[in-house]
Amino acid sequence: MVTAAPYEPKKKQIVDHLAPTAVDKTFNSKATAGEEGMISVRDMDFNYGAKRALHHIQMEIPSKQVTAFIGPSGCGKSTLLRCFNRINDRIQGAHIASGQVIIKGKNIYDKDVDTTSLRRQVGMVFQKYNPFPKSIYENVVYGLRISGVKKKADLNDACEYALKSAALWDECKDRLKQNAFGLSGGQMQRLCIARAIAVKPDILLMDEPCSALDPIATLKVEELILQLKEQFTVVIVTHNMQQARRVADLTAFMYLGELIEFADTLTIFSNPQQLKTEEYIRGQFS
Amino acid sequence: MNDNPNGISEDMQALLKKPGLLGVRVDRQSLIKHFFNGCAGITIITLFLIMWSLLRESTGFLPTYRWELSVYRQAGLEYADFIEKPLSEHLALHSKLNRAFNAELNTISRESKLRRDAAFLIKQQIEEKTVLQREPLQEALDAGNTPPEKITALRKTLTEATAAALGSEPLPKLFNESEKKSLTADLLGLQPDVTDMPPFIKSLMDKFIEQDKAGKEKYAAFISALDAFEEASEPITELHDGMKEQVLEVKKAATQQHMAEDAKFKLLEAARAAKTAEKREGFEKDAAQTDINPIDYKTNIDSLITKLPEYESLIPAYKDAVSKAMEGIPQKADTHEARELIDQVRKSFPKHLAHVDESVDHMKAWQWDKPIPLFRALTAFLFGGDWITNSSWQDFYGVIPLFTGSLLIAITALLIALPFSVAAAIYTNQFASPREQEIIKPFIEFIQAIPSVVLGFIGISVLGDLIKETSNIPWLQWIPGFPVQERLNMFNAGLLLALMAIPTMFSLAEDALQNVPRAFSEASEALGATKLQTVFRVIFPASISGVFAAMLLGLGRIIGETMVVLLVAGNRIAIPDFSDGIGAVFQPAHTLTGIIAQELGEVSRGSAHWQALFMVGILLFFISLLINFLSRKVVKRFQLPKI
Amino acid sequence: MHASAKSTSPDNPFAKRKSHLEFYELLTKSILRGATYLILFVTASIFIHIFIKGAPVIFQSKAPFINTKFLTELPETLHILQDKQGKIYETDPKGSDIIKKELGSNLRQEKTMSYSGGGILGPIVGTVLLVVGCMIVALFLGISSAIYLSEYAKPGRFIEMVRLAILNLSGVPSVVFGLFGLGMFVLTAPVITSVPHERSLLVIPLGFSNLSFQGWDTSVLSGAFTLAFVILPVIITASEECLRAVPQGFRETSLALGATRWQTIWRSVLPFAMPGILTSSILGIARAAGETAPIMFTAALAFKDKLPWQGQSGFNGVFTESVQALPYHIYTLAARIPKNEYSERAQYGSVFVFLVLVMSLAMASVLLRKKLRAKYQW
Repeated sequence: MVTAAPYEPKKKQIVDHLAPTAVDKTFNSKATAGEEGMISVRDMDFNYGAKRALHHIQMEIPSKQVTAFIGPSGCGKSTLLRCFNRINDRIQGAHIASGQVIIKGKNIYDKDVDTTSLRRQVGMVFQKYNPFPKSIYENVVYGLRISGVKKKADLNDACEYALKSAALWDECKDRLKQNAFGLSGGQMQRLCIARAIAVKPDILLMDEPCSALDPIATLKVEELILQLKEQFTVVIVTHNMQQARRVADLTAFMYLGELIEFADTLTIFSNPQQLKTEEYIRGQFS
Repeated sequence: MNDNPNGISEDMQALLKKPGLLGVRVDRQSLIKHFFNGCAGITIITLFLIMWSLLRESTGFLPTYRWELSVYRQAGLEYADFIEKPLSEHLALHSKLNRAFNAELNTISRESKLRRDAAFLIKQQIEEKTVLQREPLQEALDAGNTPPEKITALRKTLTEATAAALGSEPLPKLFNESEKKSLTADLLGLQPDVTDMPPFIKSLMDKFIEQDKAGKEKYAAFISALDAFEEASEPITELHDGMKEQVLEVKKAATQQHMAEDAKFKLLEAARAAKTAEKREGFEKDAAQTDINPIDYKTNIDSLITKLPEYESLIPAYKDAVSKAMEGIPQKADTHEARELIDQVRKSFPKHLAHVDESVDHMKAWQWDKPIPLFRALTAFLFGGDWITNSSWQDFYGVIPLFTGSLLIAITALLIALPFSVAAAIYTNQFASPREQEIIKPFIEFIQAIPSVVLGFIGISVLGDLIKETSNIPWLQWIPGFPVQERLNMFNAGLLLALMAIPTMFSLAEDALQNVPRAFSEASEALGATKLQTVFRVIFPASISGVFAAMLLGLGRIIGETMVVLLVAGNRIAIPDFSDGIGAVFQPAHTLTGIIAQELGEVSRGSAHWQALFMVGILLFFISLLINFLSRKVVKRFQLPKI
Repeated sequence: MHASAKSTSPDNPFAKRKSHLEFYELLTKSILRGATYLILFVTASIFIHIFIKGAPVIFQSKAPFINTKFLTELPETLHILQDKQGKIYETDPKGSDIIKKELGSNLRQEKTMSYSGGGILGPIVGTVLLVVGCMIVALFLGISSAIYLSEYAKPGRFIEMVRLAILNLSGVPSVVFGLFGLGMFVLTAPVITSVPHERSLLVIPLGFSNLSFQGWDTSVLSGAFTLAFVILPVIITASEECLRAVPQGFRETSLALGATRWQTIWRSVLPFAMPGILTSSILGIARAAGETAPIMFTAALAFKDKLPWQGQSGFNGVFTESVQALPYHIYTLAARIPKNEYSERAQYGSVFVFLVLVMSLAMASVLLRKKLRAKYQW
């Protein structure tokens, strides 16, 4: 399947020192086209008050893959991502105008959907790392505590699991009780990822997770994302096309609130079907 | 404003700026600059003058107070007070026993006493209401020559008026129907020329007298023990009174001498400043004529000390008498109240006896000529337990009673205001709809504009009675301190001050919540936390420093408030009696701010009292600085990391 | 949101979990809301109580609908006379004599209530004088200092210290300011006089007269200055904040166009800061109007039967006479007079007028702020 030669060595290089399975499970978008994905968006319109932000979005996001949203600023990629756990509900006047977002066979905008229950199953990592002003440990187990886990052993296990999954365990296992703000930026972002996966969600949404990080920290987070897709369905918004190319199995290009093109990453970058996509990827606008 | 600045700026810039700067060319711009410089200067300098003026008016306090304390010692007042202490203890014990006795007596005669008093009360009320009809009848009867038919007519009007008054006045529930009837008959028969008590009321009175007598017979042993207890101290009291008279004479002389010295000093001072030799001579002559008789403290003290053996010899008899009297106090009282009081007395009795012995030791160790160091005057001010002014015996300026009053009121107010303002801040900031916010915020800010004297007025006219009535509700009697004795008390003041502090604390706490970054709540909600979990696990903990600062600044506001406490706190200068625990907040008290406002208008400038009040002002000044300092520290210490 | 066939399927992965959480959520929210509304309720009931008891004193059902007597007469002792028929006459001392003569032996009893008769013109005039004086002093000094601190002063240790001092002073109890005013303005402030008082701290001969530091006595001037210093820290802080809120770009643009420092301040900074400064100042002045402790020893008298300009010194009395003031009048009425139906009228009437006065100042500031916020935004 891998055809886009110029990019392959680099990708391979990253993937190589990661878990070997990552290479094997290269995704073929056509294989799932038409089938039900993990997240399916059905002809969705989304409004901020009277202003329409997303038009007729239609997409199937497959399970246990990394899907990237790219596009110029203000194209609606973050808005779309934030629809998946309904965190947009926080904003006054934001609402879905028509269509559905179906996760695990259920339209999450139905009235009988409990947002807290939804958000426990759809985790999110934000653009700017935002640990709580608490200890590292308390940050990681926060999600468990609020869902009522009280047993010390359970919490400790979850903490270790999450920090290991986020490749942070070795760096901070001796300072779990210290304030999270003592960590470096990259570490804080990985802590936020650990915090999100400690509750074992099915889906992990990442809103430009590396935009506030330096290149080395970015690389580490990217490695982490590739590891995470073994367990989670990852959806990532990124401003950086290289990043999408490096981590994503599928890429969606959005422009002015519309989904222009959605295909597997290699197709998008090597053989885009739409003129707009091609222009964007060539860097003719941003 | 565009014109050249006026002359003030010239003066002020000299105060503010280094002198060299004045020489710089003075054009329009720099003049304007210097003008503003000057204005800020005036403000700043005057702000610093506050401290200066407080200090100036109070600087003499420590020496003056030291002088007063040393006269207290040298004239022997201190010596006499050694005996005073066990005597006042004796008095307190006796009054407790007396209360216990009355509680016992009440078990027998309470009911009949209540019935008698209720009948008296209704009689009085009826008489008051019919006074307009009674007086003409009285006059007619007094005149002696009024025709009988007119008197009959007047009598009839009076009876009618009484009936009308009875109709509007319900009879007390203490009486049953037939008793009510006889009471009505009694009242209807009231005529100014009948001086005997009407039969039913008379029977009530007799009943009480009879029962009272029965009670006194039953508790005859108690009464005699009580009397014996009281009489035991008589010889000592007599001795003490004699000593008091003697030392007061000396103190009076010492004060006069001090005043004379002062006058002489002033005359000499004037002589020095006098411009003409003639005037100077006049002053000097006057000064020379001011005679100063040195006080012979020694002789007085010697004669005072001779009283000690007498006192010592009286002690064994006293101890014997009170111990014996204590044995006569019933072991098992019938009422709970009496039992408790007697237990209290029993407990403190051995201590009292020890204190009596100690007083002798103190008197033996006492030295009349031991000098009082200056810092002793300061500690007597800061840690003194008495604030007594205009006393015929000795004035004391100790701020502890005032300070405890202020503190207790502040704590009460804070305990009430803190939960309310924080709850309101959380609700408004996190849960309220925008429209609700628009109503709540200005409304609470508005409370700030209510003048404190208006709140104090509400406390006097409404809240006091409300608290007192509430405290009489039977099912609330488990609350310590209920039923409340005084309408005006610390709790009343605390409630009003809480209302005053709420806007300050609310606004600051709300700001603190507002300043918590959105990212925190977003992260929490993305993890599936409910609104409430987010608020109490993330947002509120993150804003805790702001809430602390709000609390401290609210405390500052409460401690510094004057009018509410002056009007409402009850103004009793005493350290609250904590024997009934938290109930102490229902006692009246005086405060640091209240004492200044109340007493400053009545004292003469420069007296020790005046200076003491300014010292209280300085104390308040420092307390407010401390609170400000702490709140800044708290904010800095818990500052949120920037992300 | 139309539900599709799929989403109505019975197994909902995001169903609400059954737990007590929801109940606690509701409970806590109700408690918080209850606490908030209790505060509002208590405040509202205080206002309503004062309105119900005080409004009948001021308003009447007949034209001119306002009890002008209460607002235009000086306070005096109320005499209550009762004749033998039970008829009650309420009157002033003069009226009492006349009625007594008329009634002759028909007089049954006479009661007097201090301060409860007449009106409250004296206190109103005194309060207005004090507030106006305080306003002039506080605004002048406060705004000038703020301009200096924000526009001219170079940041440094000294300025930091000054700011700290101002901040600390805003927490100092008002009764301490009262003591300060007593020590400073009543007993020490300089006056020009040919006959210095003997208590004068310092006398500087000026040739034609003497500058004597002997104080202004208890007078409107002392009271106004004391009140001004009570609110000065608030006004300085608020004004400085307003000046700082004016974007730096305004100043830079103006200076770049060749304007002098002062022109910049006068034309490009002050006009934008002024509305904010004024609104916060009005709030400060409302606070000053409500203060009692600072004027107790510096300006106010419990009773005075003349308006300030009716004394010996004529119009100058507006500055040099001591006056009655509403808050102190209320204090006197509340603390020194037994409460009964006669004194209650004077009490609630004064409280009502005072509250309306102070609240309308506060209200004006709040409304003004709301209006200006919409108008001046950058």
